[in-house]
Amino acid sequence: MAVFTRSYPMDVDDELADDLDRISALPDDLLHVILSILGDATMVTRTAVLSRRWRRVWTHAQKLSFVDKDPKIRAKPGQFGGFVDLALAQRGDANIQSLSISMPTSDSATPEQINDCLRYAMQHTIKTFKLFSPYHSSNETDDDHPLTILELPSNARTTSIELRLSSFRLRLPVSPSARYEALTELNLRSMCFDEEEAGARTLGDFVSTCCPRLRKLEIWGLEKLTQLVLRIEALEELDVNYSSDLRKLDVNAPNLRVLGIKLFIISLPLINENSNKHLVVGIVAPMLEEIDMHIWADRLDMHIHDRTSVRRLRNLGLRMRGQYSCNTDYGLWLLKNCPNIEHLDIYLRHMFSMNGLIDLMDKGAPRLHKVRSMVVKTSYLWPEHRFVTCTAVAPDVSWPKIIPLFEDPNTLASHPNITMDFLHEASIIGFTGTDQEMYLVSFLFGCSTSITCMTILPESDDNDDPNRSQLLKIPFTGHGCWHFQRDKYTWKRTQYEGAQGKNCAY
Amino acid sequence: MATGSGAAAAAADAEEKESGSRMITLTSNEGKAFVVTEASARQSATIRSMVDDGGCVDKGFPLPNVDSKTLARVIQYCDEHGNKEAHTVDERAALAKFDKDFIAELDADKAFLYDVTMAANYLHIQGLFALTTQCIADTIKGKTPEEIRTAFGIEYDLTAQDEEEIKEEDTHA
Repeated sequence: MAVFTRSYPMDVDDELADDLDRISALPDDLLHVILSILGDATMVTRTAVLSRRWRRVWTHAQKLSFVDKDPKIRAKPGQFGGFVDLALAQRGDANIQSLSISMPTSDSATPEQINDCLRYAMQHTIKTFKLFSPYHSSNETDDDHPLTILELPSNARTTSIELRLSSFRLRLPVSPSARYEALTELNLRSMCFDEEEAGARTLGDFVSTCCPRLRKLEIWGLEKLTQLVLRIEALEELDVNYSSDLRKLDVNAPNLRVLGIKLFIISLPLINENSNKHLVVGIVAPMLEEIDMHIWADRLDMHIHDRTSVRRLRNLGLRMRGQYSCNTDYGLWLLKNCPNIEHLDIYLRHMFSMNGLIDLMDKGAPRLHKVRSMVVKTSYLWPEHRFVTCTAVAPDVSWPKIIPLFEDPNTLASHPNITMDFLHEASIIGFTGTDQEMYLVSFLFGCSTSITCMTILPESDDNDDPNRSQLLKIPFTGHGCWHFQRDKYTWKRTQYEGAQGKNCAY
Repeated sequence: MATGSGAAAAAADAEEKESGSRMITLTSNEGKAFVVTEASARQSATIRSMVDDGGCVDKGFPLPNVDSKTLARVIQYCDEHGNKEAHTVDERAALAKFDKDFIAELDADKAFLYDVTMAANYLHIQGLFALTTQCIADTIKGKTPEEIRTAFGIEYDLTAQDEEEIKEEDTHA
């Protein structure tokens, strides 16, 4: 506590001071901070007309965000691009920390203007550059309407670049001296490549040769990218998503920690005897800790060398049974071949209606001695099967049986021997109180003596939800207390073991 | 040996306990002394680093760039954020409410708002600096130039030549 009186009488001088232009007396640095908070380039540049003092203050603002908000009211095509060009030209040689340009229509800027922006940004943007370009409604990419080419300049000082260039073709710098020395993060979306063009540089070659400090690479929906060969010493995180032309992913990255792959490379229709889209994945990453993988390919050859460092498997798709299942063996293969997994997050994808218990032991899954936590998700693929998402955190999981939760409670009842001795926490989402769901709750309490916490998120937000009284009647819940909130029911075990808890609710 | 290290540990413990309730004197440029808790003073990264460097805690810290009125208001903020907990939802809501009232009062007196902003900048009180600069930015947001001039009392002093330049820029934008 401060030991002084805190009363602040307004005196007459203060009232007068209000009328003086004190803001203009603030130092430039401080005004730059304020303009950076504004961000929006239209507002920031508008301060140029306030007074003489303000004419050039904005040109040193460290963050500018150009957004074409009302493309329809702009009279001429490229007018927004012209505004961007002019604003950037007025900044002269001043550097900027963060620049983002977002153009929602193809009329916003001409290709020349976008190329100008790219050149300016690579030269002057120090930290973050983002460019979102128009998305053309017509996807004509035939010979008569080739995609417009944008060129990435040969050099950049920027540390983080995100480009979403829908319906443009990106040409990477071919100069042998091209360098993106400072670049640590690169995120490319939706653009098209033409790697067969004579003399063109491939994306893999560009990042491997020109970006020595690249730590994080994310690509999303790139077209005509057929192969990605990466040799990057610094790379720690790689995310390859939805690039359906990819046939070869070959990564050698001694510092890679996190690998994410989401690829759907399949022939349509789904059941095609002659399906032959073949994907080859080769990963050499001795420091790899996390794999987040969902691949669906007609044919998949996957080689991940030395998996002893892998601790986490996320979103691991296991397509359980059924004649439609494609080559998904990588799921089980990873389970078997990553001996040190601690966190497991699997997604059971059921293509077909099926009955009974899935016991992965039958499919040769190993005992995963080191797993400390596990999340199991199932999906609703067939409306008649209400799968319930069940999350379990259990230390020392020795590969418990995975139970698909069907409408038919007999599925569980017919397996009275299931126990979950190490189950500590369970949560159920979207609880509606059907008999099966109630049965599931009873089942979880019944098969585990170690449970300490249960969370249920009900669909109903009714304070008189009749399910509450049902929950109170479940055997074993007497070892703890239910706490009913409008949107969350929590059961916690009474802390002192031995002292029988009262069945209470509040 | 054992007793020696035990005594040292006890002394360290005592110091640890004391540091929570230690008082620190901050002196405004008008020579007025304000005594605050160390927790309150540590809201300022500038003072925090001086304290941690074993600086002149006993002698107090003179702040030649801050006047008494501004310092008093800054300390009001630091007391609230330094001495109160923000662990529970209720505690955080109480702090958010304090911030809201605090900035609303400053916003009504723009000249004082700038003084507090400058002081927060000088003393590196991150939360307070973010609060005041955001408030000034909010005043600019969504306004026409004329409205901004009125809000801040900025005098229109552009010359004919400036106006010509602006017209030129406008035709492109």
